[in-house]
This record gives sequence, C-alpha cells and structure tokens, in this order.
Amino acid sequence: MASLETDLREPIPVNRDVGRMAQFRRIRRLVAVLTAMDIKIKYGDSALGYVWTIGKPMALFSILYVVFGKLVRFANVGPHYALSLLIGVMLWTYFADGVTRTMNSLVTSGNLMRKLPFPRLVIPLAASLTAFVTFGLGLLAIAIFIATNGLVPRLDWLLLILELVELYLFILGLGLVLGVMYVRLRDVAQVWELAMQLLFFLAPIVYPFTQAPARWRQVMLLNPFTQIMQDSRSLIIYPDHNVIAAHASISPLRVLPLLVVAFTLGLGIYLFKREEPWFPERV
Amino acid sequence: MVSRASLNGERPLSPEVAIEARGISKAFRIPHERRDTVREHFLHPMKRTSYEANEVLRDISFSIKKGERFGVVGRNGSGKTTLLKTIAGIYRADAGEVIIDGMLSPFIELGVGFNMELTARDNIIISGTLLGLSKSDLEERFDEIIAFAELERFVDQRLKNYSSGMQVRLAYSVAIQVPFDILLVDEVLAVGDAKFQQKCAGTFDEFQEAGKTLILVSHSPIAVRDYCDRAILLEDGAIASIGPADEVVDFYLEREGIGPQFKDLNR
Repeated sequence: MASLETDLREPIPVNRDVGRMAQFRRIRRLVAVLTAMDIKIKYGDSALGYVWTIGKPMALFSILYVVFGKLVRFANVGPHYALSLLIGVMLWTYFADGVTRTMNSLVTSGNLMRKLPFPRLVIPLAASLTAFVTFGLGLLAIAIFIATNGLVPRLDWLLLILELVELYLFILGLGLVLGVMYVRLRDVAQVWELAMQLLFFLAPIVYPFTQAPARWRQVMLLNPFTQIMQDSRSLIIYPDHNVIAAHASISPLRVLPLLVVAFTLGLGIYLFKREEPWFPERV
Repeated sequence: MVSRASLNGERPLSPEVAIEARGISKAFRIPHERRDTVREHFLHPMKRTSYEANEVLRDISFSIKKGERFGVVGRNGSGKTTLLKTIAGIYRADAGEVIIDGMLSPFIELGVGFNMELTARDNIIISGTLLGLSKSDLEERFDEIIAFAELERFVDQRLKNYSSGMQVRLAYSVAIQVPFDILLVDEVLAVGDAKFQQKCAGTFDEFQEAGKTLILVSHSPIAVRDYCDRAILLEDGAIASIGPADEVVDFYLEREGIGPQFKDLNR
C-alpha cells in the first residue's frame, strides 16, 4: 500500500492563462486519446476485428459486382468497372460509417459529459477520426486493386488528398448537424438510416454516371459525395477527364458542392456551439 | 480541469476567495409527456409548450475561501449534485454566475465518466487526459493512481468486471491525482470499505495542509460535521441554512426530527 505522503504531492504546475496554442494542443491530445480508445472498443470483443473492417465493404463490393457487373450489365461502363465500383463502395462505407458514428457519439458519451467538464467538440472529432482510420484499411484494398489493374501512379493523384479532406469535412459537418438533432429527437437515427439507403442509389456508385439523364447530372453533382467520388474515379482511372479544379474555370457550377460542404460544416459548428451547454442534461 | 477565473471582469473576486456563487438558479424543463419522436410531435402539435419547469436551484449565493472545507447537506433531490455540476461547469445556470479562481477537479456521482468496456489502465488515460494531465504527467502518476486505489492486480481488467466499490476507489484516485486547487467530492465517504473511507478522510487533511479547497456533498451529515469548516443546507433548491458546519448539521438533524442520540451512529 502506498503511503499518503507519496500519493499527494504538489500538483504539477499548469499555466492557468492558457494561450490558443496550448488550448489547441490540449484538444489535439484529447482527440487522439479518445480516437485510440474508440478503436480499441470497436475491436475489443471481436476475434477478427480488423478483418471485418475490410471484409464487410469487400463483401458488399462482391455482391454488387456480381449483380450489377455480371447479371445486369450497364451499356456504357468504362473499362475498369470493378475498380470504379470498389472506389465507390469504399468511399461510401467511409461516408456512411463516419456520419453515423459522429451522429451517435454525443448520445453515447452522455456518461462522460455528465461527469467531467471538457470541450465537447472532441467527442464528434474523435468519432469522425475513428471512421477515417478505419477507412485507411479500405484504401489499402483500393491500392491492391489499382496495382492489379495495371494502373501506374501519377503525380496528380496527390489531388486525392484534397478530395479526402473535403469528404472528411463533409462527414464531420453532416455528423454534427445530425448529432445535435439526435440529442433532442431520437427519430433522427431512423431517418438517417433510411436516408442512407436513398443516398446510396442517388449517387452513381453501382451505375455509371452517364446512365443518369444529362440534365440530372448537374443536380446529382450538388451532392458533395457524388462530386468527390466522381473526381476520385476520374483522377485514378480516367486521367484525361478533368476534375473539379480544372472544371471550376469552365463551369462555376462545379464549385457548388464545395459550398454545400462549407455550409453543412458551418451549420454543424453553429448548432453544436449553440446546444453544447445543454448536452449533459439532455443526452 | 476547469479554470474560469473572472468570467466577466465586472466584480472580480477578492484574492482569498476560491469560489463565489452569485444568485445561481437552474431549472430543468420536463415535458409533461416526454415526446422524443416525430410521430408524437405530429399527433399533438398543440401540446408542444406543456413543459414543467423543475426548479432545482433557486437563487443560490455563497462564497468559499481558499483552503476552506465546505459541506453541502440536504435530502435526496434537494439540488446538491446539480449545484456541484453547475460549479464544475457541466451544467449552465439559467441565472447568476459562478466565479472560480483556481483549477478544479470534479468527483461527481461517484465517478469521472468511466467506460465499462475498457480496462482500468485505459480509463485512467481517458479521465486523466480529460482532467488535464499531459502524457508525461500521466506516466509519472499512473502507478500512484493504481496504488492509492489498491488495484494493482486488476489494472488490465475491464471495468465491467469491477465491483462498484473498486470503481469508486479508482475514480477518486484519478480525481485527486490531477492538478487541482479545488476538489468537488460527491458522496465518496458513503461507499468503499471502512479502510478506504478512512483513507479518503486522510486525504482531506492533506488537502487542507496544502491549502486546497474542498467541497464535500454528503447524505451523511456526520461526515460534513466532522470534515468541514462551513456548510450549507439545501432545501428544495434553496439555501435553508449557511454557517459553521456543526451548526448547520445540527439544524438539519433537528429539522428532520432526528434526535441527538442518532448523531453519532454514522461514525
């Protein structure tokens, strides 16, 4: 048994007048710790933890590939349908998982918020990052597929980083909006589940984008997910197609999805800041 | 870790004051019929405003000096825990303000927000970090946290396999190992075995020697009388009595119709 004398030393001095940088470092550390623990919980009880992470989207991909690639053959698919589908499925899994996790995170952290004061934003940040780390494994699958498809990496693939940043911000924004609503209204989870089904088919994941009527394509591209997925496919598979950066100069409409992301994130942060003080008593 | 010195600089604290509550009120809105689903909102759109405001704290003002041991007594549901949570910054008061000078460590509702699916080790890392320990602080203090809780053999077991007493010991151990000037303690003396209770009481003495401020909430008036300098009695969210701890506790016991012969039973 430790004696009391050694237990209770003087506190480690902490600068009370914390500057912005110190605050930022503290939040970064909180997020890192919570993310690591999220991942630990996720795989804690399963024997094949990491295998499931990659196995589930791969299974979804295989089913979709058999149904839409072999049974239902679309007329105007490109030469790399399988790779195109895989990119779509992996991005979709990340998107759906990320938004759902972020949405749920506040409600599932009720116990923590009722007992300790801390910047609440670290909770949805950690949840969305957990989804991002999981998605890292999905990227591995895509990389293997790319190699077996005989595509040679190019420098402009670095633009994919921008696409992933945009997707992360969209996931965070949407997750915040839904998460704040979920604290007040528990139906949100049900609605989101249905919305996911709809969004899956609204985005050209399984069918070629050109399958959609031309006048609808502009509308479909308002969905940032569709824009990100199409840009990523273009970058990887069809280098002669232009991505958003090139299109922006041609058609200002192509920046609209970016505005949607900015609006969603702004709304999410605004709602979060407004509701934050009441989370502990409402969740 | 909370540090909210002089939130609005209008009336700053005098330097010897650790916590000042200025007219804080807190009500919880309780819908008469809880309607958390859309269907209910559609079915009864007109009933929407039928909330009942449950006033849990009413115009609470007090001031606690640095190094003081301050007790809060009162029946179940009188607002003790809500008061602690408002001081800790977990709840936002509807009116009034709490001004705090110093860093605060909360031990509220017997816990620091543990996750039952994780081991004691991981929970110490989470709670310690949320309470303001850096990575090196944590490494440095980890063994002491475990040693104080006397849970060396169970460090890598998940908390769901812990008894409630073991969980409380661990939580209290974390709460007192983070850097703090003010400690909020909610009912720690009511749980844990006799030896741990004695150990906790020992820590109270050490905090006082170190000049730290303690707020102790307890159902057991005897504990407040023994360990606190001053106390308040809460009744329906309002201060019914404030003053030296023994006077407040005697007043409380009389008011509850508990004779003096009972007073020493809890010892």
